[in-house]
Amino acid sequence: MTAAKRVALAASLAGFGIWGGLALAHDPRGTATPAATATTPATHADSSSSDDNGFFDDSYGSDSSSGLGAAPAGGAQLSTPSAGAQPQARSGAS
Amino acid sequence: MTTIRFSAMGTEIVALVPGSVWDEARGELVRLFGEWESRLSRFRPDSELSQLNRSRGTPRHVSPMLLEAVKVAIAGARATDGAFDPTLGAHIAALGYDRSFTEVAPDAPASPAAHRPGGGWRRIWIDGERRLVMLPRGVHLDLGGLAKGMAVDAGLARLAEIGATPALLSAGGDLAASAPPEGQEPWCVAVDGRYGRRLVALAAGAIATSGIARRRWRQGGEERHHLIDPRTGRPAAGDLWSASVAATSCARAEVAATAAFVLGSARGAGFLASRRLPGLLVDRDGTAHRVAGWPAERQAAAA
Repeated sequence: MTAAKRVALAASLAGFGIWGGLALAHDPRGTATPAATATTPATHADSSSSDDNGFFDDSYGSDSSSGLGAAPAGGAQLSTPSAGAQPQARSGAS
Repeated sequence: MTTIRFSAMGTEIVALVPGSVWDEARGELVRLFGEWESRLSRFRPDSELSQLNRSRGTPRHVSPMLLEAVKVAIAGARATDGAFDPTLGAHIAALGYDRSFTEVAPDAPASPAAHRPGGGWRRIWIDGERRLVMLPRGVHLDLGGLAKGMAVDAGLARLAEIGATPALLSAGGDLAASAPPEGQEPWCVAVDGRYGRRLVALAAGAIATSGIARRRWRQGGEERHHLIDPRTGRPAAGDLWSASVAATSCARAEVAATAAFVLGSARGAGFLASRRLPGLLVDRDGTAHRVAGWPAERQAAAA
């Protein structure tokens, strides 16, 4: 990058609230939202998971713009297969 | 139901869909996975992810897809207190896995690069409104497994949009399924163990497995695998052979399975139980531990 481009970039960064191109872990304008979505994370009933921002709760990121997809009603549902059921898919290391 | 199979994102994509929508479903999935791969592969120099990894501490404008993937990756890292770490791209490349796995040398030469802990995700800067992402110098994203999980979630949603329900979609064994019609049997999934497979029924949701049955190689005479412990920067040396987790989305299941594997059987089980995520943890000796409501399985017939 040329010196002129660096100056131009620094000027544009100033407008974004990034000083000197430093990797800031916060955003002074409040627009940087690491891992945040418009949805309020659900409060998990188990307090031991209260530090995970609700990432594993059904309602987290349930808005259509999230990359987490729409959670099925009732959450993941596992059970013992009936006798005679044949595998239709495989889950394993890939 | 009919089966769709094709290769993308370095693995095999398999979908089960109603036969009436096979053509349209296949076209949609091929296009969708192709886009995810072209944007998020760390093996393609021209991918958006590779360009971001080369940005060397300067903000870069990114697509909505990459922005969302970075957000989810950081959220996953935070939710697992860093046991899932999406910023180990440079680490795993230094270990010899710097190209598509089929091209990785089975016994690569030793690397002079020193092992160092991960945690770079804590210093990533994001401006969501302007779709700007800035990676600190030296921090490289590897969204491999998570990107596959997110693509599966996106693919299943797309199938629902075109009326392809019920459906099951798998990327290399990380899968998600929509609920079958009432009265119909749930999906029957064979989950890999150390020795043999175990059958579980999945009515809806996702299952992902992280393990070392595959993607192993040698470097400088030492055994390597692709699941890196962020605390050491080396391949996780815990007691697990694999960790399978069920969750409401494939991305969540992938994050949880990777974290549980890295944490090992005892801490991994505690982590899953505290999040109420059903899991099957398989030790390297083949002993299986069911956690948080993972059901009793049936053994699959020998393949």
